[in-house]
Amino acid sequence: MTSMDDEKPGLAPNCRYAEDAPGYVLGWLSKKDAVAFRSHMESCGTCARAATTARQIIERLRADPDEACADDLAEKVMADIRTWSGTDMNRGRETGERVARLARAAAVILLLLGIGALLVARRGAERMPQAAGTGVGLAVPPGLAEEPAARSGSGASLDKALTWLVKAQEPDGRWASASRGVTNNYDVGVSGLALMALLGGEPPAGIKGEASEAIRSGVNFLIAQQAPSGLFGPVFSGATYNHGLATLAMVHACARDTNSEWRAAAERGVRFITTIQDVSGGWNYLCSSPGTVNSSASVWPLVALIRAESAGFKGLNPSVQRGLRWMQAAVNGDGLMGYYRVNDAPDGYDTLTAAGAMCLLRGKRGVDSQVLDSMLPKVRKLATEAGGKVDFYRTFFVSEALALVQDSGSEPAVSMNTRLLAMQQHDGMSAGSWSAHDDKWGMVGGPVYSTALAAMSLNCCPGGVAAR
Amino acid sequence: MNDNVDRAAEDRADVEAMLAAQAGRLEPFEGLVRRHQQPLVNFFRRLCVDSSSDVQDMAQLTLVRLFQHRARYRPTARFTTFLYTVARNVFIDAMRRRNRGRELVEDLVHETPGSDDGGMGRMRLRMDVREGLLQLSEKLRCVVVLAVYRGMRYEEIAEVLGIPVGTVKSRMFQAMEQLKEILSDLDGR
Repeated sequence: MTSMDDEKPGLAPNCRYAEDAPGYVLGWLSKKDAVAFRSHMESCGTCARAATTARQIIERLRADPDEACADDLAEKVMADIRTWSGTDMNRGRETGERVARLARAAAVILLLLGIGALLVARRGAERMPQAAGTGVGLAVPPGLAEEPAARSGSGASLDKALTWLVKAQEPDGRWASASRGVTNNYDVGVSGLALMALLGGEPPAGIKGEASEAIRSGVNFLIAQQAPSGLFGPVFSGATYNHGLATLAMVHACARDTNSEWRAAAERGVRFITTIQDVSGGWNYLCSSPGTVNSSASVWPLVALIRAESAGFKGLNPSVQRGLRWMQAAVNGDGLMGYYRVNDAPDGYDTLTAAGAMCLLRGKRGVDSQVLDSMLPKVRKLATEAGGKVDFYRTFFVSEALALVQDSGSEPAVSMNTRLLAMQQHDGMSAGSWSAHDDKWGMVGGPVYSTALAAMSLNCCPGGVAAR
Repeated sequence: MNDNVDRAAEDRADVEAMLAAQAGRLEPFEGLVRRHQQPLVNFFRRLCVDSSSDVQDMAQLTLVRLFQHRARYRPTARFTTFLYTVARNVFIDAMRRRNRGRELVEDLVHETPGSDDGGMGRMRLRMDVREGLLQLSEKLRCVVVLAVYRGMRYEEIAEVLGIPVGTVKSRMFQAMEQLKEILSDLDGR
């Protein structure tokens, strides 16, 4: 076979844009780049010829039709797989039996040692604060156990918000997003937000029972949406948001209830987050092109892991540390967080910076204090900025970040809360909610999204503690 | 628009089939096999694998290996990136075991049009395109086949081949220029 050199003399383009010609013909250039290339071709014969060549060659190549595969190819593949799986399963069964024998032997030894261990543990437990949600194997670190369930301030508004959320729940336990198409259904993510708002607040006395029932059926809805892989919700690019929010909600729910089914679902969700973590440490949209890990997709998975780790879920520290390192690396010298990387923010820095600050403050250990010091002034400034487009996401991230640095009673926080309270609706069926109409992401999240985030922000109100 | 929706639905079905396979469920995987068997056969055919039976064998081996390596799959990129990485490795392994000569071109010369291929015109076109691709280096040919016939973007091709995006772009440009010369030589015969 003749092999031609890749770098044959004479084939190097004499215009540096000529190599874009095939991508232009195939439609891969962004709209902006395609327009620029088209305009460039008008004055560049090299590129115009390259595009014509690419078009002609591609058309000719595509005229070569596909050939059919063998009729029995699929059957042969499945037969091979079943044969191989049978062998593999037998091997697995033998390994399992061996492990079981070793486990039984080890159990005898552990039983003898266990009595002493129990005595030590009991003495230790007497010193630790007892908190709801202490399930088997769940060590409750002081940080989580000591966060009080109640919060003060903005009480009446929060009561109305939580009441509205309880009433907005659908019969099957979900809360509905505005975007419910086949390809981008955010019900799972929005349900996660609603659950976190209810779990983080103290519902008014009149609806305590209903709120508990809403939480129970909401959690069961999430569990019903979980695939065996651990993924909550449907597979589509935005699934990373859905899954991060749902997992975080499940972790919060487990801190309130020792339900083993809830715990198992939360663990599967947490494990799924670690499996989809990019080698760089960040997260991407599901089913996306490589090289598109970004801070927006990374926030909720990372926060879910951080909260799970502090709630006693084991083995998460390496993933958490990698995630925090990725986030830190996306912050520039001015304290602004980028999207794909540092100094890159196609939709602006504000929300990303607030979200990044919240993550890094939540992560704390191993986070460079200079990075946080550079971000906090930006976060405080966001709290004071009135006007501009409503962004409930940003409001929540700012509120949480300020609460984490004990600034929830500061003037910026109070002024932001005042503006938030002023937007709450008071009439008819919407009473207690916040409209998503003017929010950046409202067309996707809907009023449950905006109300849940507003409620979670109010949980960080002056005098209160950070939202759970 | 419909093509995009169909492709998105297929992408989702593929990811779900892989996740189901990871969880020990085989049934959705058969759907995945049926969706991708013909594209795989044609992928190997256009990489100029010599015989029809070898092409089928390599497609079969790719799909079995895909199942065997299912634990390595992560739904963070398009499924086809993972699939064609496996396929490319199958191709490389096969080529290393074989002594490739110009048998393909010899076979093409001796092929006669069958009743199912539309006559000499289509056979001639197919021969020219295949011969044209054959005359490219394997590095350039692979980029062309993935880009033109599998619709992969540069970033995805870079991931499959383990090379930078800039190199993919450069190879695609080189391939277009070389194919222009090759095919015009073939047309002149």
